[in-house]
Amino acid sequence: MMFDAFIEGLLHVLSWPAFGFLLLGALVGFVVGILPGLGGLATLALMLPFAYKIQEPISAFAFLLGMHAITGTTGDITSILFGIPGEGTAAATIMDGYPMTKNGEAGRAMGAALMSSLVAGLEGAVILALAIPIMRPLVLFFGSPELFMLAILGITFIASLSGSSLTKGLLCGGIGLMLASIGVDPQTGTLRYTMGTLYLWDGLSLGPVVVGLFAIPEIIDLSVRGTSIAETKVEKITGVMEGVKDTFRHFGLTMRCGFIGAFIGALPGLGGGVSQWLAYGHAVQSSKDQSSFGKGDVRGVLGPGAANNSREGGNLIPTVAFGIPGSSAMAILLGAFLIVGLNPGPEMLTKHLDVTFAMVWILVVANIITAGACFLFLNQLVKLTFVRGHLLIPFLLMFVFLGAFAAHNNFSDIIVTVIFGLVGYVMVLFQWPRPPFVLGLVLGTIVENYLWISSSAYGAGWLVHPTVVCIALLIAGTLIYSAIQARRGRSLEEDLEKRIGVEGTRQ
Amino acid sequence: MTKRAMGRTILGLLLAGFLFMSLAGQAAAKDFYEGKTIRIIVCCSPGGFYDRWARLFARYMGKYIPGKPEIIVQNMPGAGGLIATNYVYKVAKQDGTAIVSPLGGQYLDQVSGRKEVLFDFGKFQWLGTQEISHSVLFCRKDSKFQSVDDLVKIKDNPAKLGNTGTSGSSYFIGKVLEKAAGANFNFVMGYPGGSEIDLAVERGEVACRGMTIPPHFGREPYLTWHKTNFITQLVQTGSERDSRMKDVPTLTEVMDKYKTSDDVRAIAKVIFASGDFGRPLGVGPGVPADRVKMLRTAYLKALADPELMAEAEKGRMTPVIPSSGEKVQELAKFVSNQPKEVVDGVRGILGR
Repeated sequence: MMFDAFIEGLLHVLSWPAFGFLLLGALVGFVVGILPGLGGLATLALMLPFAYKIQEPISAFAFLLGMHAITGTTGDITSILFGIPGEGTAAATIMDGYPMTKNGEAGRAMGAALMSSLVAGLEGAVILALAIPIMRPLVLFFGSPELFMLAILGITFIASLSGSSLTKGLLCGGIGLMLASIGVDPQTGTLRYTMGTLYLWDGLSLGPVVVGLFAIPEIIDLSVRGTSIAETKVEKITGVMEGVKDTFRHFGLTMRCGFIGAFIGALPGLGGGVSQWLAYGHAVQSSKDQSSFGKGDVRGVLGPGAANNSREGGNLIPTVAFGIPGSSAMAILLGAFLIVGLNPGPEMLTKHLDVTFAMVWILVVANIITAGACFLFLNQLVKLTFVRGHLLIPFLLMFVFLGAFAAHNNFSDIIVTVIFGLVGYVMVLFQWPRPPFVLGLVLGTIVENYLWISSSAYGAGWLVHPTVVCIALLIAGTLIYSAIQARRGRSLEEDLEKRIGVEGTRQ
Repeated sequence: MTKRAMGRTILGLLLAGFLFMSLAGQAAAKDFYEGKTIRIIVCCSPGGFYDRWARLFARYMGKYIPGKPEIIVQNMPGAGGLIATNYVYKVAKQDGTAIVSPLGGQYLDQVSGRKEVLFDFGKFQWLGTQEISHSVLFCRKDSKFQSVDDLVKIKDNPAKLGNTGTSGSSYFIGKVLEKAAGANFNFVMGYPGGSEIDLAVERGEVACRGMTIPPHFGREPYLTWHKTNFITQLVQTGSERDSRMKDVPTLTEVMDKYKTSDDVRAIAKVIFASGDFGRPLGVGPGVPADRVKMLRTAYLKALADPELMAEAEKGRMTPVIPSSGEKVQELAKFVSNQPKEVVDGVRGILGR
């Protein structure tokens, strides 16, 4: 019965008119994803009324879900080419993607991002399919104490994201955590560090901070250098195919990061910003040689690229199983469920199982379509990075500020972008690592809230929940492992220094 | 011409002039909206009920306004709706091209004396509200808390009540019940949103939650919960029992039973007036009266549009119990002019 529904779902998606709607959704998603200023979320809300007209559930989902799946992938493109994240949640690809572009490897980076997105998108869909029978217990298993511990696990990644100096990394992470406390405190309603502005009531919003932190320094740098984005003029654009091959060279990593994305996506309450950074952290941490990260290591593109897409499959798990949306986009999709006359919830696992599988297939097919479309004119896009920087800068600035403004229609977002742009520039100048800062900012609120919730709901008892203990052991293991690795790495370096007399590794 | 006749002529001329002027005025208002764009400024992010209602009106209201203006939705989330509400009151042009969709309980910020509030809720010119959304408190059926009496009696290990922060319906019901009946709660604070509280109820992390009634009967997980008898409703805040919860007492009945003092009742009345506001739409205080009238008429006509109703019903945005602009206006004046004791009481409950 389950297998029948699985095949039936695929046939639904490939039949007319559903497939036509999928193509249409893909087109809209593609345009919106590349252009700044119109977020994926707002577009989804804007397109929701079409569900009234389409009516047939699978066609409606093909249109909406297909569109949504694609905005995530295309966001990576601007991150890689220009160092400007399409959305706050899609920023980790910048870390190594943009340096690769500077090295003239934009094609390879994009190939890697797209292929890992495709592979992980498929993985997310498979995970969703496999999870269908065990969805409910799976989601219920992770209570607030478990979420708290997962966030702590995320914080330990700060160590591996610190780059050359652990002290600087920890300090940046700490500052990030501190800034996360800005806003209305949920316990008592006290206003913390809002400095008399309404804007800060909701805390610093991730999008403008990340855009400022990463995009502005690069734009300044570009104008100072006076060259094109790609510093090295290569004869032939390193093939997109090279990146595709990279995905399979590091297949294990891609799959693991895909799993991280799907897993985090399945847990409502951790938020969209977390999964990509955790995947990046994992990519760095699990690599033997970490020195090339941040300078254009393809593994740093594969990890976040993968997590970004498998998340969608994960997000669908609580949406389908409980009717509880796994993300804000899913909340809008819930509206679509109702409009086409479906009841998200247990029914989706029994009576409408074919629709649920059709959704899995929509994710798969949409990913294949985007990857295909991107590959067709990637080489044209890559040429942009060889255009003289001075010609690009006005457009890039417009991209940056439109993107920052559009999220809340609030001018303060632009001020935040500028401030963190300056902060980012100074950080780059003095070699303070930015990822730990973002990780601190993303995880700070989560850690604080779930610690409170755990203690008030369970007293001290939550400390001995079996899962909590397991994650604690995992954390201890990671810390010890990276300490040993760091020591080994250092002694290797010293060895090298002694032998050839160079002054350490390049910064 | 006799004096009398002259008087008549003058009067006639004056009348004609007046008629002309007023017609011209109307023509001006009509002309005014022609080719204009009206923005509905929404307090909240895309996708929620506030946003979806605004988008529904954006598609249906324009054709009922003389001049058929374009209507678009602009989300301006932040600071619990204060940013959008302040914006329409203070910053937007007072020419009737900016409509605000604030939170139903937005006035509480004003009543509790938040200094960031730049508006007087009673001075907004309200177009009406399309939804009355009172609240309900429910607990898991397998918990010890099956009535308000249980909440009062059980002092050790009191009911765990899930909350996002100090400005949600869950928190309001809990705090008012504490004051009005001596109920005991363990307020578990800090869930990112209502969905996360629902999951916490599902896994037994908290036993109870308070929420507004329309979604409680409009979507999952509640529909399944009703079907599987997973939860018990303890109290509802409307003045009359909801037709779908005939055996659940209202807050007033609970207060009668527990002989709640008049001061506390007055406080409760102000706090739960938010349910009567529902999801109101309004324009700024300086908008000319003729345009307000036009918008009010268009608003009611749009709500009577069978196509809009059909869409609302499909999106489970029902029941639609519209309340006219005049009624909302009256309520807004009432809540913004409260004696000091009540204001202090409200503040005490909101913890501000």
